[in-house]
Amino acid sequence: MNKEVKAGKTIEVIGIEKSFKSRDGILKVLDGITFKVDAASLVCILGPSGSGKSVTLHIISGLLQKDKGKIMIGNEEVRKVKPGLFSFVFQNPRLLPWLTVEGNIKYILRYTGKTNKEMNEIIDKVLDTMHLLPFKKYYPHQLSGGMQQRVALARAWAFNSDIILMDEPFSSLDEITAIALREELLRIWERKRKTIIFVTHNIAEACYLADKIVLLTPKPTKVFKEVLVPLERPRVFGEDRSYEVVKKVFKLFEECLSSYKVTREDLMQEEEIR
Amino acid sequence: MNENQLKSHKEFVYLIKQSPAILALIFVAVIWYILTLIFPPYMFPPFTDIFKTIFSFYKNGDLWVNVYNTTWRVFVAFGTAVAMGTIVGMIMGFFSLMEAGIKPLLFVIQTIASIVWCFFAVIWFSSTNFAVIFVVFIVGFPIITINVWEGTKNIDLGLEDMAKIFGVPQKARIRGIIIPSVLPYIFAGIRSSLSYCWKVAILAELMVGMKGIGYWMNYSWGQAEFTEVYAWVLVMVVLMLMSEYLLIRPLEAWLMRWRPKRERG
Repeated sequence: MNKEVKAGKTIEVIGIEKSFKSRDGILKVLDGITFKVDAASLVCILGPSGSGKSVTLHIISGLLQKDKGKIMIGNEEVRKVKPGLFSFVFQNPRLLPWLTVEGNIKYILRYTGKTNKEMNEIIDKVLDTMHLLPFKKYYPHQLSGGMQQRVALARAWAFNSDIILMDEPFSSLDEITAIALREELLRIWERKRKTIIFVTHNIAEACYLADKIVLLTPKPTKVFKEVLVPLERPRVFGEDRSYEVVKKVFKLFEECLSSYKVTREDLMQEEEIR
Repeated sequence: MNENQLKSHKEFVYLIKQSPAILALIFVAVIWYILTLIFPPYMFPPFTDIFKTIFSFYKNGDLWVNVYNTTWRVFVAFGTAVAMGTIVGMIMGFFSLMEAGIKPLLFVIQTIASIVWCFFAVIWFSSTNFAVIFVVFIVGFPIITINVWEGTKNIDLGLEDMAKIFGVPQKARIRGIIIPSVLPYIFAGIRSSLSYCWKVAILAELMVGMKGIGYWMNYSWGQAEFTEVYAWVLVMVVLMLMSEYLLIRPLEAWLMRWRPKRERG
């Protein structure tokens, strides 16, 4: 642990509000979201489906405009997409199908002012740490879903920004693959710490990854509670000592839903409507 | 299997897969042969006569001159249609105001029969190369445009967002994401309009009166030299097939070599 490098910037999310126009009028999704992410820490945003987790993340990145509130990165206010500040890992890999694994990473590195030699070194290194080197010349369609997401992770890492935003990156994968990728994520993160905001609806995943969990309420969304995860690193997914934390977060989750008079049936219905 | 065996195996499979096309051609030839036995030669001239006629075109130089004339007109017109159609189609896909404005115009262009375009071309441009090129262009252009317009609407905006986050500048996003996304649709447009453009070129040549395959086909028809008509038709068919199989398909395969190969069995 002594060799770890700490990088990253503090992120402050202050009073974010966001409404969308829908057919039945105006739908308020975010109703004053406020939380803080320490530099080089990993924070999970946990919330029921449709609670605007992803919207929050897109607003932080600047891809989506907010109605009210402020996003502070370091000491600077961010209003729109600022190239080079963030890496983003999306729910689906979002790889360019016409480029190879190598080409996909190169595509985003090309505009960071690096020489060709530097780019190749970075690509080889990051593919090596992610065990992707043998697949360097493969096209995305030749890889499985898990492998594609691994490439997306490698791409985010290669970009070497201070902040990485992750929007349910493992939720569309089977559990075995997801576990492997979570381990991979912590392994590379512990070697080189950056600020990570990780959106998920998976309690066990949040408890395994996070330093701090920000628990969101259903729509219109506020922060219900912030939970610090006291588990020492390195962690093992599903280890005994994690049960207490998972239990505690699960209880809070139920409490949060019941205080908003949302039953599980409602959530299921909403899932169907979407 | 070693590599050589694998290669010859693949070639064998390829031949088997292509055999229906070859069989179909043989089938048409056989039918033609039977017809030549039943009907008089002015209706269905035997192959030997048709080939002899083509050879005579070759000997007196008519063949190359006319193949050249028709081909360059089609290529200039079609190339312009692809370029303009791609640009206009993208503009329609990106700007809904333009879409609403251009859409009815495209339908009007498509509703007017190609023979009517020939009349217009003669009225506006008289007997010129440009008149023929205009007619071929006006037939190809809406088909390409509509395909590209469709393709532009299907661009994965998620890829755009990804590139924006990673700070890829707009020019590079157009080159790296938009063009490759639209490319399959450009080729879909090309496939469904190229043979049509060849046909219209023939019509336009005879209507406008510019010397080329269509012109001479009409001339032979007027002279009741039906074997010559058939000879020119055969030349046309070969040209069409060549432009499709020797130019467009290899180009498409090369540009979209990243695509998954659809291999069955």
